Amino acid sequence: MKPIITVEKLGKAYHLGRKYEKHATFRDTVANFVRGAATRLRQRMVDPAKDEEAFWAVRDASFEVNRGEVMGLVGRNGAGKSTVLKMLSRITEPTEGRAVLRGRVASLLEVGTGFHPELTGRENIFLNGAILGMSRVEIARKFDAIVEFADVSKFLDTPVKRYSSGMYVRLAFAVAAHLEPEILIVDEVLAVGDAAFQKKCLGKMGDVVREGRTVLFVSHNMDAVAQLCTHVIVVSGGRVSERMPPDEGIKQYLSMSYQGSPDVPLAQKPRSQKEPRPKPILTGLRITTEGGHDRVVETCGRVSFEVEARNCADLDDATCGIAIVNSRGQRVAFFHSLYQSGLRFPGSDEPITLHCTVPSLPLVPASYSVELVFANRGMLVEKVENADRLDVVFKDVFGTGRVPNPSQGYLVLPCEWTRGS
Amino acid sequence: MATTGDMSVSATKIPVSRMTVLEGDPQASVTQVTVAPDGAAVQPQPHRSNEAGQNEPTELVIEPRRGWIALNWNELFRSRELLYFLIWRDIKVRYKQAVLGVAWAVLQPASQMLVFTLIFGIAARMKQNLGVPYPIFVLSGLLPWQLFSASLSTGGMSLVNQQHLLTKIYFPRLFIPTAVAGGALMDLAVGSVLFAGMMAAWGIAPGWGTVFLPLLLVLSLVMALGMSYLLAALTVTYRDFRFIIPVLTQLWMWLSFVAFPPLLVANFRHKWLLAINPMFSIVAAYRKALLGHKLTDAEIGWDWRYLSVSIATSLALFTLGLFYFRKTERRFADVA
Repeated sequence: MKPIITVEKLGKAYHLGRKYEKHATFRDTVANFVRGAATRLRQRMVDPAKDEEAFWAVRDASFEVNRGEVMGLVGRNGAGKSTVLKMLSRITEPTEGRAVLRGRVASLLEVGTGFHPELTGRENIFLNGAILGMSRVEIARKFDAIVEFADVSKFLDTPVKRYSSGMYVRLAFAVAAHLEPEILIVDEVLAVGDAAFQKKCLGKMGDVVREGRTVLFVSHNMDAVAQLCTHVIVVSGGRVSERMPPDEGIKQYLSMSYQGSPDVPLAQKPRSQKEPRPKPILTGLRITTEGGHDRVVETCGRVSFEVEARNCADLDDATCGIAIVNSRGQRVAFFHSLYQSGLRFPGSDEPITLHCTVPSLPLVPASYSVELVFANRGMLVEKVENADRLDVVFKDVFGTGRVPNPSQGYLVLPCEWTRGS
Repeated sequence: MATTGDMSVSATKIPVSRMTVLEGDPQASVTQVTVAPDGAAVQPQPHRSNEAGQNEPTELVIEPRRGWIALNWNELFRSRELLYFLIWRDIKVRYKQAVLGVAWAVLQPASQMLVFTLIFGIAARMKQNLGVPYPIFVLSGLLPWQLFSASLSTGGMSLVNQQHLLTKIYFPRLFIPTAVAGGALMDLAVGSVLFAGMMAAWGIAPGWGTVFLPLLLVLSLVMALGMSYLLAALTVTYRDFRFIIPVLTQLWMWLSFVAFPPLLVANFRHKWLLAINPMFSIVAAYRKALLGHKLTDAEIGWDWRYLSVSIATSLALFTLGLFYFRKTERRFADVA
């Protein structure tokens, strides 16, 4: 059977220099018109594919998705994931290339598209359903399920503008969740609502997957990607990678986040600050491990961190923390100067060196990133995500030849197993 | 249309009958009626399984297109329910949170009629030469005019005002400006009731020409839709039309002789120029059809030459609007 989605050399260019991509004014057009047919002709001759002013949001994207697969598209903001989805949902037309979709498509690039604040919940279910491509009959059939899923039955006849944002999102997702297309295109819509509802959404997505639908899924939530996707494509700088197993794709995506990190000094890495400061505080991080390997530690091995901080004479009660973050973006360990050692110190403009030694790091073998936080009086001042990376590698700590792997757990802890009778 | 049906009574689920259980199809065992928000009952059909859907695989090819793009009738027909919902939404939303609500559909033409009556009917003492009371005269022209002007102003801004739809989901874009015309038709219907009431109050019976009204209605719809498509597509790319449209609407109204009879230009040598504006003939034709037996100067505009030029212009504008819309449609999401 042919793949349900075939994408061949798909590309989308935006013409940065050309007027019409922005809000062109009529005057410009008239002026251009007057400026002579020759110029216009020449402009027209420019093949968008060779136009040097063109900015290619996506180029040469080729991939296939088979029936029943859940394809995750991961990549950083601006990598072109959403452009791919927009082209496949026919919102924007590709500049070159071709895609064939063999089945009914529904796309969900935003929760609640077409919701009208003045209309009641009931009315919006029908309107939104119709916009998403459901027929009246279909919506009517699923009406009760939608209301139940969204848990808004009491407010069905209230205009949605009076809804809390949580209710609004729940209702909007509920309508979308009851679509029954053969191909579902979803962009980052699980990132809304409270934790309980997100869990419910993930569950619903899981049902969709189990029903054998084909899903194209963009998310920054690696946990969701790992749970739902059967394959992953990494998008970066408008290019798409080969399809790969989710673990590998996620790993590649995360390693992109630290791309170049060995060479970039910590002081120049992107950071977030609670209040903007003229100079960075966290300026150095050195990781030394048992055996002297660079950024590689055996599971349950010893690892030391040396953090350098400066430019913080205004802080009187500073603390520093190091978080170990796994490939799904979850913090699995946190080493804090105050929590573990009761250490707090006054800030200084001169470099301060802080040492942190972890005698044993009982993490399952995988790649991790290191995150640094710097606080004053318990309030976060500066945070550097992806300050560095740390690979935990296998070591036969129990003498059995095995330790748990990342899909089995987070920690490698000793225990005693015996058989009673 | 039962759009304003009472929401509170629309119980969502009323099992109306139990049928014998059909073989292997549990969905069909109980027939349920869910009441849609517009009050109409919807009869759910047995759920078709995926396998059934796969028997006729739909293949959708996405690739760059160039030049004029033909209408996809199939798609328009398939998503006709969406058009219905969009019209319904436009009507429903318009008078929400307005104390007077739907009354505005009557008050709008009524107030405009009042203004014109004050200016022209009384101040300019125009009523003598008309053959019908001035309010009747002006309202008979205002009704088709408002259908057109709503399509011009609301339709022209419709795409820009709904950018969030353009950039987030695909559906036939043509439906957005088309839905506006649906709402305007609704207003026309309400306005017609007012007109009928006034005719009765003045004891004027409609002329035999009334039978042509449906034809005229189609003609004005064609004209309204054409301009709506053209302006909507132009406004997406050129925001200048945000400012041009109100001026255009004003100017166009005076050129269409809505408020005073074309009698004023009866002696103008180049009055045939007026025929180029289809709305001139359309407004005149509405008047002739409704009040022809009473009007003193029903000649200009009712002329078959005027009408045929107008029909040709309307069709040309409609075609132009539709084609320009289709041509630019594919970059709406990039520009909006």
